[in-house]
Amino acid sequence: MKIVGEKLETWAQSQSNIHDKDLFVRSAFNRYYYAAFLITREMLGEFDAKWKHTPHRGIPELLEKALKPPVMHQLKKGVRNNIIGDGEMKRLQQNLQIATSELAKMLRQAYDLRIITDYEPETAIVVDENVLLLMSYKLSSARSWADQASKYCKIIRRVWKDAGLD
Amino acid sequence: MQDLINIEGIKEYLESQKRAFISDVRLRPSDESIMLYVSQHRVASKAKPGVTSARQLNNIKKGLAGKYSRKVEVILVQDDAQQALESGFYQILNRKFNDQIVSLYISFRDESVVDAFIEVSILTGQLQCEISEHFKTVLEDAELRLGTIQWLSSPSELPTLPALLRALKTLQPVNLYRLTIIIQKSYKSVSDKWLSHKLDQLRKKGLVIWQKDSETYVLTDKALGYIPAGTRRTSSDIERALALGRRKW
Repeated sequence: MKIVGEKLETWAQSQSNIHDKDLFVRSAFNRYYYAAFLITREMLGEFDAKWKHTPHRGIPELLEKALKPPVMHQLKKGVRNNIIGDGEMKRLQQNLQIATSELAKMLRQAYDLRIITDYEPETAIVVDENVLLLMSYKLSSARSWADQASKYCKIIRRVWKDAGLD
Repeated sequence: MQDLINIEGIKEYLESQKRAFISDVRLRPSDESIMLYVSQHRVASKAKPGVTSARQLNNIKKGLAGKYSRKVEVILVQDDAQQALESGFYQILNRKFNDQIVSLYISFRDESVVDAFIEVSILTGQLQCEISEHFKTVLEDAELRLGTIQWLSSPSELPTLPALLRALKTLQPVNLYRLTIIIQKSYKSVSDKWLSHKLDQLRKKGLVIWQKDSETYVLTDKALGYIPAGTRRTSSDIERALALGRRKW
């Protein structure tokens, strides 16, 4: 999905007509959002099949609230059974907290922009030299959403596995 | 009584509450949610003039949701500064440590404290110390403080005991040779010596039994009670059933 966004971004840059440029920029933002969303949704589906069907706008909250209880339950069980120590539990808890909160923050921002691109055509793009912006968001920054989602998912998966969860 | 919604009214209300850290407010036409925009750098662990906290933002959300009967969302706006800093720190550390840093991610705990995830090709205790010290200095030069560093040493990472128990559940009864080969698929730096030591630890904790006649390891009831059971495709029970199916008896 990210490569589609990149192609659209290249096309957007090459459009001389501002209306056409606007359309390509919107589509590129949209694809960049979906790339990050799909990466996150795949991970959530691995953890719990019903999480795969969470509506888009509910994903950040799910990341912030639903992942912690099973991980903490398992970690505390590990401490009680003398399988892991307090230090290990705190380390994994902190990794989970940082990664889920950063991913949620990014997806909230990306989803907001995706809604603007799809439902608010009156909010026009801005071209500042070669920088393409919608609201205050740079299209070039949106290009990294998928990579950011991948890196945070990698950390979250690692915590899940290290806690001994399925 | 529910107040009629209008964007100027919301802005005036927020102004009267001295919420200057909210950089923008708008109504999202698709679902009529009230959207509040706050720069990431205006969020700290405790609220103070010009700076807010997660708790205060939550209270503002609740206040507005009650006043206008609308969903309220807060968007923490991340500017490009964080990515630029990440990229800069990554290059500085790699220059100092001869390209041993595979990746570096940072997260702002508040406006001045940075937590980091650092992935290193081959992590040793000494290298970990040296990178920490150097990174701390680099941050201090940028008037930032180091919170914690989490090490993601991909090729040299080792499984935790819970992860090891879960692998044992799938494969048991299993000898050291076979277990090492299978664990090494996910954790390259695991050696049979390291694994044997960990299995001995688990045996002493009453989680694993060493079967002398067959030279294999199996889990105890206590360990089986610890590992989650389920019916999902990725659950340890299903993985075990599939592993048994593949096993040559």
